[in-house]
Amino acid sequence: MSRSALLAALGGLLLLGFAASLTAGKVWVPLWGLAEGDPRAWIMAELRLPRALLGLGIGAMLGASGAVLQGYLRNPLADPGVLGISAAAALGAVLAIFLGLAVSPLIITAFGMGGAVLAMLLLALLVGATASPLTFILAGVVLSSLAGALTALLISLAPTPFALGEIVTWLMGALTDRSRADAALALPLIALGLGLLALTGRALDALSLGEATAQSLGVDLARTRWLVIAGVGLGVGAGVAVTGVVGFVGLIVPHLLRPFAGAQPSRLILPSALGGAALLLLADAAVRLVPGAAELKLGIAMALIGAPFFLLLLWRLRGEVS
Amino acid sequence: MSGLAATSLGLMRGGRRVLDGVSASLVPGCVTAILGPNGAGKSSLLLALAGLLPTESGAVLLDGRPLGAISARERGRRIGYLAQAAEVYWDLTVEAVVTLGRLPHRGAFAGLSDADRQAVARAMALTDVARFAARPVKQLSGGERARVLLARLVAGEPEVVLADEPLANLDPAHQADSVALFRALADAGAAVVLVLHDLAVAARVADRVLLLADGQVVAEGAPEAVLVPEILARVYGVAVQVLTGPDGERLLVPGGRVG
Repeated sequence: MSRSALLAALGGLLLLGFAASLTAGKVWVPLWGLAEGDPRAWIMAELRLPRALLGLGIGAMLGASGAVLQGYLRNPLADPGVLGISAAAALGAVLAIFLGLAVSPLIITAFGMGGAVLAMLLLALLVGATASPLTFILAGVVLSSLAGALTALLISLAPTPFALGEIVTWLMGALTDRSRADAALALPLIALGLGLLALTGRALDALSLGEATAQSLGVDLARTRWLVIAGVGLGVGAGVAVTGVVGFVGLIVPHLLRPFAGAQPSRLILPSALGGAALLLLADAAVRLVPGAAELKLGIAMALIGAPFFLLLLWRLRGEVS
Repeated sequence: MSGLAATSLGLMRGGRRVLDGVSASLVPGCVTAILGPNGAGKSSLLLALAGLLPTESGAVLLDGRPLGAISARERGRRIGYLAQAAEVYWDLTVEAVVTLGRLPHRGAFAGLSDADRQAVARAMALTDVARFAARPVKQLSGGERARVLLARLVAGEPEVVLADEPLANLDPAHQADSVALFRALADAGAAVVLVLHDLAVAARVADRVLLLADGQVVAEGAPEAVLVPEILARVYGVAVQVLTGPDGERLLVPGGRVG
């Protein structure tokens, strides 16, 4: 498949997902419900549209982060969720709520980004010491459970049960009832993060020949590391602060697209962003259709799809990662 | 002066002196072999010459300018480095790997120029990998992959070629091809530096030999002057016989340990 055909197909899928996200729900609203004067315009403009835009941005960010992290670490199992970056971002956001700083969503977002960047720095320290993919993933697992435990600790120390309930619901990861203000805050940060990641392509290609060779080709390793840390930190941190933890998108999407886009890391970033956005939008539309009083959380749905996928991947790669 | 020069490089690693006052002058048109026993500091010296391993003392100069004063991209264009037993982490095609050699010649988001395409095609032809240009590298044998990585180096058209054990893994025919290729690069004006293990090959290939032991240069000069039984016995601890071949060339035959 040619690259333009692939991008066109993913773009089409993305449009389909966006349309589904606008129309699907307990109340089906056709796209023309956005028209002025339509009684359903409010639902569309205030609920569905921010939700769809956030799904688009966060899905793109998660997909691109997965592609960039896999390329940068030369590790097919890398993903913001698996490496504990999302969990650390969630911890940061919960800390802001716990400290009573949640007066403005900006502070929660800033704490979320701080948590993500801190996790990336911890991992960067580790990657200097070892190049083994398996060790790195284990470090991510430890980071993930540590962040989870600290989050649970903060929740159990929460001053009011109301705050507790809210945190738990948010942690599970969902795009439900996010406002225009949430989107206005998170989307520019996500765009900035995506922009930084887009600058890493050449360096990631060169890194597929190892660090010394990449450096000999003129790649500035320190600059690349900071671009990856800042890009993933900003984008994933801001995304998690709004939606909670939605895992596995960054793991699944680059893997599904590699056979079509080719293995070269730079050629995988844009398709993974498009694919991640399409996957998240379609999944978010699908969870609304699951019968039951409460909506199925998006984060739970992604984990139900992603975890078996991860196991399958481990099984296929078992010879290579040790 | 032109070419690459190192002045009294010193480097400690893990409490051990890896490089201890190493000076070297690598001139255009000349093939220099770096030899020495395991752990003598050959690979570290090559990395330092490539500007990839900062040393604690001394400096590496390219045409008289310290490497630190040259931008990474210019260094990438002018100095080519081939790592030892290098891996390719993703299943890239042969052509994609060779094209990576053009990276320092390309602008940040620029596509391939005609010059880039020609250099890639030429490098693949010279290393005999053009016929599997579209194959994924993971499907190739170790020797084939080594030639692809050599093509990557050649595609960059560097003035200085630094290669760490470029002949390991190659069958005799492709070893001969690679030796001829390095010779051709030198004849075209490149300063070629090869870390080698095989003394016999070094005697055949090199114009100059730099013999290292314990991070120091123990002998330097023409192969006839350096690769002689007395020096080799002292440095390697093995007896080496020097025979004369039918065409009058020197043949080195390493034997058992001495002493």
